[in-house]
Formats: sequence, structure tokens, C-alpha cells
Amino acid sequence: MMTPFLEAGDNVIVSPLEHHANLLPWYRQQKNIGTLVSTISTEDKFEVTLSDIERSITPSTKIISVTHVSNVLGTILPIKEITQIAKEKNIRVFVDGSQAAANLPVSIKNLGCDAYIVSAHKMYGPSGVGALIIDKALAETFEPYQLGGGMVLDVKDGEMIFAPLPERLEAGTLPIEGIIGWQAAIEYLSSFKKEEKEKHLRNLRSKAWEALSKIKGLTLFGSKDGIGAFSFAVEGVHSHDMATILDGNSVCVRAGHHCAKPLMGILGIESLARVSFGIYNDESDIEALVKGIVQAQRILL
Amino acid sequence: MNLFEAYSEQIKEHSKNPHWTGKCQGENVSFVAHNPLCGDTVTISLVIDNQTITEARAVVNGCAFCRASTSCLLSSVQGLSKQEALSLIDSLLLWSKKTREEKPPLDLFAAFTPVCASPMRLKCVTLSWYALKSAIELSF
Repeated sequence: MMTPFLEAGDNVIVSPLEHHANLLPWYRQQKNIGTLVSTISTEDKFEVTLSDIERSITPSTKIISVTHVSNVLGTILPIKEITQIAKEKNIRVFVDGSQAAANLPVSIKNLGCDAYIVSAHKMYGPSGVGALIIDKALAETFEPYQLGGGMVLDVKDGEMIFAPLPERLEAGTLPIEGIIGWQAAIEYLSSFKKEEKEKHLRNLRSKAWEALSKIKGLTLFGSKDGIGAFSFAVEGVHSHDMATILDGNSVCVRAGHHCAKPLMGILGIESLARVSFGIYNDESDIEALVKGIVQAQRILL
Repeated sequence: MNLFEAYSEQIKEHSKNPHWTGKCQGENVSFVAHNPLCGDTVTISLVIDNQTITEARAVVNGCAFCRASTSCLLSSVQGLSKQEALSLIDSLLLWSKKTREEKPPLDLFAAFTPVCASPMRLKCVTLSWYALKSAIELSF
């Protein structure tokens, strides 16, 4: 999506924790119109604090675009506080909420951000569907980045008249089965009390963190008080070998750079194994994880 | 078969103590292959003299299968002519796609049979094969 109010020289701030999905569009805009993307410099490589962000703001900053929760580290960013300081300086705040939507009780109104983006497949739903939840007045200024059927009021004599929102930003045939599937996933998620769900996920993450921290040769990568995911590396065992051996123990982890290559550069590592928890997990899964990691060490070291 | 059973003694030995590592002294061809999906990198270093690979080495930043397959390949091509090495690589690549029906061109590679059958890990095995092929082709 092109942000029409940005001009050459305007500054867009991102955090070092970003998924490529919240980097590449800004990099493209930097290349195309000469905006400047800068990365927040943090005091702690696993955390992004309000003071880190305040230090990064310049008079030319127009957008702060950050993740709500890191997909690699589980770090939670202080979105409400970021929005408060941004509003004082007339800066827009865009939030990648992919990792937060299923894990935290999110009130976009309370957060006060200008745009919040979620993906169905991170909410127990199908892949290929997501939502941009955006301030309506801001959305009115956006030019559609895709053109297709169903997004126009009329087409004639070589002219097109776009439909009102949201249709004009929804070109072509939408993934209908994905949207229906997502609704079912949201209904499933909504059947749990938000606070209890968060408590369950935090409890599992905390216990897994503690259990893994006792394994010799294992290094944890994450925010201890985060939510959702954290990552780890085991000396002498490549993350892909770790994932394969854990898979043999019916434990699924993701291995690799997690579409966060700038973060991997900051952490000084090529790849990590990532653990994340869902509402269907319980403590027996942590036991299986620990057993699998120890088995991987036994096989490969 | 669980893929973790594919970590045979041969694969473990080659991954822990890979043969022909590093950069050749007098290198006259090199090639870097990268798998952007997993981050594995293989840097091939060759000394080619009169159409013969007199020395082949590699630096691997990758998983156990990647390290082991590189080690096995490099052990197999020392002293081969460029054409012989290319033929071997082509037959290995062909075999990697039908490991259930055929035996490998060299027994040394039989240990990779279950790995090649895994779409997720096939590229771990073949990355260095493609890298060496590209390095040799560069030298023509």
C-alpha cells in the first residue's frame, strides 16, 4: 500500500525485531520515492523500550511502523505508550499485530494506533487471508495498490471510478473459503476467556523458558517476559537438524532465519530454532521438547 | 522411517569431521552457493590444472546433512577430470529425485537416501552438488 502523505526525505522508523513483511514495503518506498527508513537502536538486543524509540525520532519522522510482538523473541512492544508520544509529534503509528492477535487481549481503540495488521494463519485460521484495520480518514487517502474486478463503481470510456472503502482496496475475487475459515477460527478463539488464554500461554512459555535454560550448551534468544515465541540455539547442533529430530518426537518447531534477517544479523547468528505455544499445548509438550533437545544432543554431539 | 534415523554413523562422522575443508592454496576457481530459505552457504574452492580437478575444498555453513554431503562429494572428485566430475554430479542429482527406485552412482551416497526423499531436506544434500557444478562450469 502506498502511503500518499510520505515525500522524499520523510523518515519511517522500524524496530530491529521486524519481520520482512514490515520492512520490504518501506524499503521499496525508500527506493521509489526517497523516504528514509531508519532502525531503532536499542540498549538491550531483546527489548525495545519507549526511550529507545524516543531517541530515534527526528523532526522528519512521519511513521513509526513496528511489530506488537516479535515473531522470533516474543518481545512485547509498548504500543500504547508509543502511540501517545507519536500523537504529540504528529507521527502515524502502524503496527504489525500478526503475533499478538491470538496471544494478547488486543484493543486497537485502546492502543490508539493508525493501522493494525493481522494474519489469519497466526490466529489458528487459514493461510492467504489477513486484515488491515486502519483509520478511515487515512484509508480514504490511499490509492489501491492492486487493480481488478469488484473495486469500481463504474468503468467506461477508458476511465475508472473507484468504489467506496473497503471495496476499492479489495481488488479481484477475495479468498472466500479462507475468509469463512477465518471466521470459524475467530469464533473458536473467542470461546476462550481472553485473560485465561493469555495466562495459559504465559505460563507455558515461562515454564519452557525455565526448562530450556537448564540445558547445557543451549542459548535462549528472547524476552523473558514476552509472549508467544522464543528461540534457541544449541552448540554443535544446527537448527534444521534440531527441528528434524524434534519432529521425530512429534514436536514441531520452526528453524531458520524466521524472515527476520536484519535481526539475525544483530544477534550474530545464521539460524535459530523457535518454540511457540498455542491454546492446545500443555506441559507434556514442554517435557517432549526437552526430551527431544537432549536426544538431538546425544545423536549429534 | 523417521528422518532423525537418517543421522547414520557415516553422516555424523562426515558432518563432525568433514574432509577437504577450507580454501585451496593456489585456488583458481571459486563459487558461493546460498540457500536463502534456510541460510546454508557452501563456498567451493578449486585448483584446476589442465582440465583436471587437482584439489577441491569447501567451507560450509550449514546443517549436518549439508556438511556431510559436501564432504562425501569432495572426497569423490579429487583428481577427476572436469567432465568426469560433472557427469558424477549430474548422475547424483538425477538419483536424488528417484532414490526409491535406484541405487546411488557411488555407494558412499546411499546414506543420503532417506534425506533425499524429504522435500524439506533434499536441498541440504544437493546444495554443494549444485555449487561444485557451477564452479566447474565457471572454469570452462
